[in-house]
Amino acid sequence: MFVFATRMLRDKWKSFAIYCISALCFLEMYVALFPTISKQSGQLDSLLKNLPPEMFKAMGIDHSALSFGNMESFLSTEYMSFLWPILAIIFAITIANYISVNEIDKGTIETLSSLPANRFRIFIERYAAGLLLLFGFCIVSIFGVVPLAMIHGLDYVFVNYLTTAIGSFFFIWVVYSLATLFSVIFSEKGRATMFSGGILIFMYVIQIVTSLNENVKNLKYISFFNYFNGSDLLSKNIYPEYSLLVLGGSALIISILALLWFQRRDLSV
Amino acid sequence: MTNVIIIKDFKKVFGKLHAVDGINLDVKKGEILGFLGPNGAGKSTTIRCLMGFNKPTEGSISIFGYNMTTDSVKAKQDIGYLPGNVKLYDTWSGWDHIRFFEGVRGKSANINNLIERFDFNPNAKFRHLSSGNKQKLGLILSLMHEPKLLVMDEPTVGLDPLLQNEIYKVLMEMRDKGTTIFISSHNLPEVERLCDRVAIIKEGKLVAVENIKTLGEKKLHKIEVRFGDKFKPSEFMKDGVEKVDEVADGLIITVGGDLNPVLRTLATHKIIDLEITHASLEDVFMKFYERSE
Repeated sequence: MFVFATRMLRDKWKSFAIYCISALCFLEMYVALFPTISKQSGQLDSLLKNLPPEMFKAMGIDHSALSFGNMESFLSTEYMSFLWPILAIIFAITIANYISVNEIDKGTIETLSSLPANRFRIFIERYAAGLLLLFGFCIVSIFGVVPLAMIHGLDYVFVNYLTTAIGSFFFIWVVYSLATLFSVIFSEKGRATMFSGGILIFMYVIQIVTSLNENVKNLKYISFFNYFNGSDLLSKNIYPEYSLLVLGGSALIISILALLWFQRRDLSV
Repeated sequence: MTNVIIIKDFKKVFGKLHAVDGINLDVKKGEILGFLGPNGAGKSTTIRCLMGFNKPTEGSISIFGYNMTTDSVKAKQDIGYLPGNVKLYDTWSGWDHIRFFEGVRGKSANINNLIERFDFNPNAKFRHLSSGNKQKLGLILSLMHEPKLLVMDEPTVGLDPLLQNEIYKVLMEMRDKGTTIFISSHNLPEVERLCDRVAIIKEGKLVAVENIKTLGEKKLHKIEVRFGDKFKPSEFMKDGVEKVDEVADGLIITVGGDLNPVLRTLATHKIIDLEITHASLEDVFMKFYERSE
C-alpha cells in the first residue's frame, strides 16, 4: 500500500531535513537580529522610505509595508521576499525531479516500470508524497518563527504566519507542478532543471519589468510571482482570493498535463 | 501449445528512424526464444515495447493475452525482467530493493533460497556492489516471484564463467518448470546452449525465425591450418566451404555446415598446426543477411 510514496519519503527525508534546518537557521539569525534592528527602526524606516520606490519594486518588496518596527514587517522584507522563495523553489525542483527525470536519466525507470503498477499510481503516489514534503517545509520554514520568537521573548502575530503559510504553500505548489511537468517531459535531469529554473527566472524578470514599466504592466499576469507577495502576506495579513484561485488552478491544470504526459511518453530512452 | 507472446505488425519509429519496421513473432508457452541481432538492429527497442516501457508506433504486443500498451499491469504480475546492465538505486541496499519489490508484487516465498543460491549479500548498498553482484541482485529480483515469463536483455554480458553457468542452470530449471523465456544475446554458445528457437532481426525487420538445430547447421567454422607438404587451395573447395584464403604455409578455410569432408582432405596432408574455431555470431548473421538481401 502506497509503496511508491513511502519509498519517496524515505529517500527524500534527508533533503527535507536539510532544507528545513537551513530555513530555521536563517530564521534564527533574523529573529536574533530583530531586537537590535527594532531599536533603530525609526532611523532605518526613514532611511528606507527615502530610497527610490523602484528599487524595492525591483526586489519584489512592497514599499508601503517597509518597517522594521515589528517582526512581521522585518521578516517579510528580509526573509519572505527573497530568501524563502529561493529555498522553496530549489527544494520543489529537487522533489519534482525525483518523480520522473532522475529515474529516466539514471536508467532505473526500467526497473520501476517492470513492476506490476500502472503509471497513474506511480505518478500520483510520488506527486502526493512530494506535495506532503513541501507542505511540511512550508509549516517548518514559516511557523518555525513562533518557537524562536518565544525563545527570544518577542511578540508575534500568529494569524499573519497562518496566512503566509497558506499563500506560500499555493505558490510552492504551482512551482512544484511546473517542475513536475518538465520532469516528465525531459529525459535529462540537467535540462529539466534548466527549463524549470529558466521559466521561473523569466517570470521573476517579467514581474520586475512590469512593476517598473507601465506600458507592459498587463504582462505581470503571466508571472506566478504576481500572485505571491511576501510583504502583503506576512506584514499586512492580506491574501487576495484570486491569487489563491490562480495559483491553485494553475497547479491543478499543470499537474494534470504532467500526469497525461507521463502516461503517454516512452519511459526508456 | 498456447502463445505467451504475440507480436503483430509491430513498428516503432523515432522521428525519421524506423527502429523496428513491422515484425510478427509468437513465443510459445515453455519455450526459450533467443532474440539475435547486431547493435542497432532493434532488439532493445522491441524488448522495451514488449515490457510496456515504450509504446509501439503501430501494431500490437500482447503477453498472456493482455495488450502491453493498455493493460500491462496484469501481465507484469507474471513477468520477470532482467536487463544486461542492471540499473538499480545506488543508495538502497539489496534488502531495500527486495522489500520494495515485495511491496508491489507481494511477499516472496523463495527469496532466502535465491540469496543463498547466488551467495549474495543483501545488506550491502547497490553502489558498493561489483558488476557481478549487481547482476545477481537483478536476477534475484526478476526470479523472486517465480514468473511465468522471463524477459532478459543480454543477461550474462560481462559476467565471469562461474556466474554465467549458474544463470544457465537457473534458466534450464525455470524452463523445466514451464517458464517461457525471451532472451536477447550476442553470445552464440549461450544461445545454442539455452534456446529452442532464435529470431534474428536486422535493421528493424525479422530476417529469420529458426529452430536452433537449423541454425546449428548454418553455423560457420574457421579452420586455420599450416601444412608440412604441398597443398592446393582448390582441393578444399567442397560442399559447405564458404571461402578459402591462402596465408604463409597454409590456409584459412571458412566452412558452413558439415566439417567432415574438409577434415578428411586435411587428413591426407602433413599438418604442422591446426586450429578450428567457431566463426563469430556476426558471421552467421552475415550469412542470413546476404541471403535476405
